[in-house]
Formats: sequence, C-alpha cells, structure tokens
Amino acid sequence: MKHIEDVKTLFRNATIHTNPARDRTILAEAIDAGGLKTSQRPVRGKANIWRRTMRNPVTKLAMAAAVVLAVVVGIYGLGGSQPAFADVVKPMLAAQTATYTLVAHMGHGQTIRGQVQFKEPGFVRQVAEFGSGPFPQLIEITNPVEGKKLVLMPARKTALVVDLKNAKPQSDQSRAFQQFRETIQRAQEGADGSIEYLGRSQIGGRDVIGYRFTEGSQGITIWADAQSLLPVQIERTVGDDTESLSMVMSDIQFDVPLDPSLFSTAMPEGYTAQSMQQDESPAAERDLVELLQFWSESTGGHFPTALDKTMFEKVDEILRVRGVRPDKTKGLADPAIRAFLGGTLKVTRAHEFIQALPKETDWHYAGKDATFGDATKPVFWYRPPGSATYRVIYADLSIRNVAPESLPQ
Amino acid sequence: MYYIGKESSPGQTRMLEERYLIWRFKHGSAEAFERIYERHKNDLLKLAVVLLGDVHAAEDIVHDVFVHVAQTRTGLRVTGNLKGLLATSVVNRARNYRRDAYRYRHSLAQQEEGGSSDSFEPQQWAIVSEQLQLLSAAMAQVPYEQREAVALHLGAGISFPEIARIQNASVNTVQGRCRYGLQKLRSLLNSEATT
Repeated sequence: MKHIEDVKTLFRNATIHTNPARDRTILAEAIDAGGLKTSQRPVRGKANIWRRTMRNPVTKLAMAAAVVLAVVVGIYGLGGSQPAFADVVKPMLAAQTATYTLVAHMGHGQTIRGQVQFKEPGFVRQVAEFGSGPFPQLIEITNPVEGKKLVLMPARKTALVVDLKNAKPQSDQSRAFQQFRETIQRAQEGADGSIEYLGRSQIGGRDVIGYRFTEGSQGITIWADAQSLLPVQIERTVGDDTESLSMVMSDIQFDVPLDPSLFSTAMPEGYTAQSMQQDESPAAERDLVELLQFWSESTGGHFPTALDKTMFEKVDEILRVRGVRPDKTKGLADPAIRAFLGGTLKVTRAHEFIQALPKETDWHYAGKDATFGDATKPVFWYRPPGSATYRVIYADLSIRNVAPESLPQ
Repeated sequence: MYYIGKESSPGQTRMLEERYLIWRFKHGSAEAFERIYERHKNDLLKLAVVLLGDVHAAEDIVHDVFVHVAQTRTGLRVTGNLKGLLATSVVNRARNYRRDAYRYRHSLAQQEEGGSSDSFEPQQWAIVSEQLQLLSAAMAQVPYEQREAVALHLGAGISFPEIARIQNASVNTVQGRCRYGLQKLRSLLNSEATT
C-alpha cells in the first residue's frame, strides 16, 4: 500500500452485501411506519382520480409535466432505451467457466459464505465457510467425468469420497450454476413479460442496471454493469417468508482459465478417507417409498407430517429419539453422523421427487395421521403424466394403480 | 434549467431522476422508497461500518435512518442531494452512538478480543467483505474527525463542501482532515501488511 491511491482503491473495492430477507423486513417496517402505498390500486378508483385531475386546469398541467418527466427519467431508464435482458444474460449462458462468491442465508438463520468455480461439462469446486463449529470449512469437488465427488474437511483432515452412481455430465447435486442458467433460459423463453426492468442503481460504486423475474417460489434479481452489461451481482430467493433461502452471487467472472487440477478428486496427502455411495439418477417414486420406510422405522410407525423442507430439520430429531447421538467432533468416522447423512439423503431424494411432480399429476399426501402397516390407508397418490390411473402408496408401503373414481375423498 | 434529451449529461439526468424519485416518495410511493433504499443502503452501511467498526451497530443505525426517513417523508427537505441527507443522518447517529461510552468501549473491547463483529449471526443484515473488515479495523485507529471526513468522501462519495456542512467546518479544514486521515490510514495498512 505505497500510495494514497491504493487506499482509495481499497475503499472502492471494500464491498458490503445485505441479506435479502432482512431487506424485506426493514422495507416492510419502514413502508408501514411511513404509511407508504404501492401503486396497485383498483382500476375504477384510478379512473376517477384521473377524470377529476384532468378537469382541473392546474392539476392537468402539473400532471402533464409529471408524465413527461416520468416518461423521460422514470423507472424505465435514462438517456435512451433500456438494454435488452438477453444481452445481460448472454455471457452467463455462453460461459465455459464461471467463478463467483456465494453468500447463502438459510431459512433457520445460518449464513454460509462460499467460493464457487464451475467448468463445463459440470465440474464444480465449492469452498464453503461456516464460520465456526467442528467443520468451519468444507471443500466440495464434483467431477462428472470421473463420476466422483470429493468432500474435504481441512480442519480434521477428513475426506469423503462420494461415488456418483448413475451420474451424468449434466446431472449432480452441485449443479446450482447449471440450474440457474436453465432458469434464466426459461424466463427468456416465457412470453408473459414477467421480466421486470428495475432501472439504474449502484453496487460498490459501480453503475448497474437491474432485472427481476420470478419462477414459482423463486425470485431472481440480476444487476449488471451499466456499460459492459456483465453481471455484477445476482440475488436469488427461494421459498416464502416463513421458510426461505436467499443467495447472493458476487465477484462474478466468466471464461477465466481454470486449472484442471482444481477439479481433481485425488485424495490429498494426510487425509483420512471415508467413502459413500450417492445415487444421482433422477429421483423417482421408489425414493419416496424408501423415505417413508426410513421414517416409519425411525419413529415407531409414523410418517412425516408433511412432505416439505421441514423433514430436513426433523431427521436429526427422529434419530435422537432412536438413540442416535451424532458426535460432530468425530466427523464422518462416527456411525451416527453417517446415519444422519443417510437419512438426509433419503429426504433429499424424496423431496426432489415431489418437487419435480408437475401440477397436473394432482399429487396428495395423507400420511400425517397414518400408521405403518395399514394396507387400506392411502398415504400418497398421484397420476403419472399420460396415465389414466393413479399410483397410490398405502401405509404398508404397497403400491397399487387406482382409477380416479376410486380415490380417497 | 435542465434540458431533457440527448444534450443532458448523465449527472443531470441522474439528478432529475432522483428529484422525481423524491417527489414520488414524498407523495407516498412505496416503490419510490424501495428504489431509494436499494440505491443507498450499501453505501450507508459501508459508511456506518467504517465509522464505528461494529457491523451490528452499523445495521441498527442504517435501519433506524430508513425508518425515520419514511416516517418524516412529508417534511423531508433535500437541499443538496438525497445521499448527502442520508449520510448526514448516519453520521449524526454514529456520533450519538459513540457518545454512549459504555457501548463504544464494549464494542472496541470485543474487537480487541477478536470478537464477533464480523461473525455471522441469525438474521444478520450486512455481510462485510474482507477488504471492508481490514479497512474498518484500520479506520478505528484514525482520529474520529479525520475518519468521518475520509469515510464520507471515499466511502459515501460526498463532496467536500457537503462534508464541510456536515462537520460544521471550512472546506479547507475538511480537505486537511481527509488528507491526514488518508496518510494515517496508509501508514496503518502498510504496517498491517508488513506484520
């Protein structure tokens, strides 16, 4: 730091990000405190105000001035037409490699910070920082060509080698970046005009323009440099207010050279290896059955209250009830931790299956009050695409094809 | 008079846009407030962090500023630019915070013990980069008036005349504070790099 200019550069580069969930809370509080209102009013009321306003020559003139101002400098940008969304997302859709910083705010208050490096056709290296605890840092390397995932826990010199059974180059648990690109593509292809231009703002002293769109319960905001149109920051929120996950991607770079050794799954010297099999084939009905079996065995015959994310939190709880006490200081050598991971994996696969079911499958879950073994009690049913009948899973975990008119009411 | 169209500079158009935004906000538009919030929150948080060296205190202060601005919108008088007004609010609250000797010493003690000012906690709002943590630690050792001048000028992009108004000092004095503050900061950061 030889020059004052270096200090100034440090000031410019010293960035700060915010938790989108907290942003919403603070905004809601301030909007409420200030009695502010959104512009979404009933059409009729709007027309009445407009008529009253336009009858008055003074307000008519003021309104005309405001409209001109709004058109020129309003939310749709300044000094020309807004950049096309396609131009903003093009670099990330075409990138062969990508690197970025990811800050994830989990629904239960935990924040994880990580560095992600991605390389086609699905190589991923993620370094996740958890702050404190027995595993403050995890390094996860996914190598789809070797069909392996290597998880390193440097604090305890422990490594987990995951055999990605049935892995495909484009399909693995670490494909967050790929999934994100697919979401953007779908948004681009959507003809409903749901991509909203947010206008100009500033991030870290840089002039940026923003776009926002939603897909299901997922909201994505992309801020790009106003000049180069390269993405500067991407914010994703998944879920609702009660159960949400938000992620902020920053320091985004595309097509930077990434050494192949970054994605090597060779065991580093001094590490103790554990191995684990992970099924990376698309989640299917059998995964749900396996989860229901695991759950009923672990709880004395009960099934999950709901097939949602709350299952993840309850895995620890039900294993404890069964007398399994994970000792986090032992790492993966602890059978209890392996049981916990196994349970979590079952929840993950079943959850994936449920999430992937299209709305038309008309799926229902009624396992909350069911007890394992009752062959007459349906706990889950859905109609596979193109099928005339429903697949019904009963509380004894048998499966039958049932005509729509014979379904439980 | 500003001309709207190809002849207007980006600075002029930005100013016009901001005035229109303020006008909409004062007339009760939640969308306008959201845009103001999005536009300024990071700079204000950065300013508060480098002034206080305590992320949690910085969050509280900036949160309070936005709620206060929303509550008092009808009486809002923006003589300079909005950023200057918001930065002034942050500076005033930071000064009040420092006057509370117990809290200030407590937060310093936490930092000296390697405390949790940059650790993640449930519902934390601001996530501070490593550079900002480094900067904030060094700024804590710069005399406060110099720190304020440097933070306002470099952290929040406030002009010297505006800082002079905020600090109730002459422009020359403010420039001097900024210069000395930067020299001190450079020296601190150099010693940090060599240790």
